[in-house]
Amino acid sequence: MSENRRYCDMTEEEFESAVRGLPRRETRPGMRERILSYSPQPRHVGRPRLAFALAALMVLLLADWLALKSQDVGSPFGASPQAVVAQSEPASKDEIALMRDLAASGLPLRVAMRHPTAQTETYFDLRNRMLNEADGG
Amino acid sequence: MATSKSDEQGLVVRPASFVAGILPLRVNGSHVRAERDDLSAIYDAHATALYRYLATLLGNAEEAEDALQEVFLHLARRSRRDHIRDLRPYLFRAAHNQAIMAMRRRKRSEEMAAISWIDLETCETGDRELVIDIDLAVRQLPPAQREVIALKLGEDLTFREIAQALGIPRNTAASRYRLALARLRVLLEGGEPNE
Repeated sequence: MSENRRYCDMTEEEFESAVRGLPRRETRPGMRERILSYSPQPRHVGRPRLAFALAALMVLLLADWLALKSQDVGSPFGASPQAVVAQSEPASKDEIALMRDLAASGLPLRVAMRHPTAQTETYFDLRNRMLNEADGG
Repeated sequence: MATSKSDEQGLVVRPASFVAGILPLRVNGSHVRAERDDLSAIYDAHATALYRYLATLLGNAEEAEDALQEVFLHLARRSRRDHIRDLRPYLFRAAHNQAIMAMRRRKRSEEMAAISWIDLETCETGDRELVIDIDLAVRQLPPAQREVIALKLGEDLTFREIAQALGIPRNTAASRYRLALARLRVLLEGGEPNE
C-alpha cells in the first residue's frame, strides 16, 4: 500500500489530471449499426401540415371575402330581409316625414340613416329629397 | 411539472416526459432535424461518452448498451416541434434516466460496479497497477458520486452541464464532486469505503 501513499502528496489538480489521463473505454464493435438499425424512422409530417395550413388559409380568405360582400346591401349575399323589402318599396311620404323630423330634432343624420326606411336611400338622395320637399312645402 | 423523487441509491429521478415524441436538434450550435443521418451524426459525436457514463453508473456493459439503445430510440421518436438547446447535457440526462430505470429493474442491488469508464485493457504495462487502483476505487464509490466523477473526469463536462444532466443545482453538483473526489483519494490511500 506504500505505493498508493503518493496520492497524499498530490494536489487536487494533479490528482484530477492523473485520473483524466487514464485510458477510456470504447463502445463495442457493431454496437453502432445495431443501435441505429433499431432506431425508427422519424415521422415525415412537414408536407401534410403545410398543405393543411394552405387549405385553412384559403378557407379563411374565402370567408373573409364573403363577409366583405355581405356588407354590400345590393348584394344577394348580405342583404337582410328587411333591407330587401325596403329595397323593393320606395319610402312613403310618412317615412320621409319621419326622417325629416328625426333630422330636424338634431339627431345626427348618420344615426337617422340606420332607420329601416333609410336602408335603400343614400345620404345625399335623402338629403336632396328632404330639401326639395321643404322647398315645395 | 412533475416532482422528482429520490432513488434508494441516492440518485434523483427526473420526469422523462422529454423522451416522448420527435425533432430539430442542435448539433454544433445549429438546429438540425433528427433524421436518420442526424441520428448517425449524434451517435458518432456522443455515443461513446454516453456509453462510458452508463457503464460507470450501471457497472455492467450489457445494461449500458441496452440503456444507450433506449436513449437513441427515444431520441428518434422526438417531436419535430421540439428543440433541444444543449444537446450534450440533454443526452446525458436521458442516459441518466435510462440508467435509473435499469437499476430499478434489477432483482437485487449490486454492491460494487463491475466496470467503469476506465479501460484496463489498453493501458500500458507500467501504468497498469495505477490504473487498476483508480478503477477499483471509482467502482467502490456510491452511484451518485460515481456518476459525477464519471461526468467530470471521464467526460470533461462542466458543473453547469452536470447540473443540467442530473437535474440538480450547480452548487450541489460541485459539492458532490468534491465529496466524491475526497472519497476517491481516501480509497486510494487504503482507507475503508465507508469512512
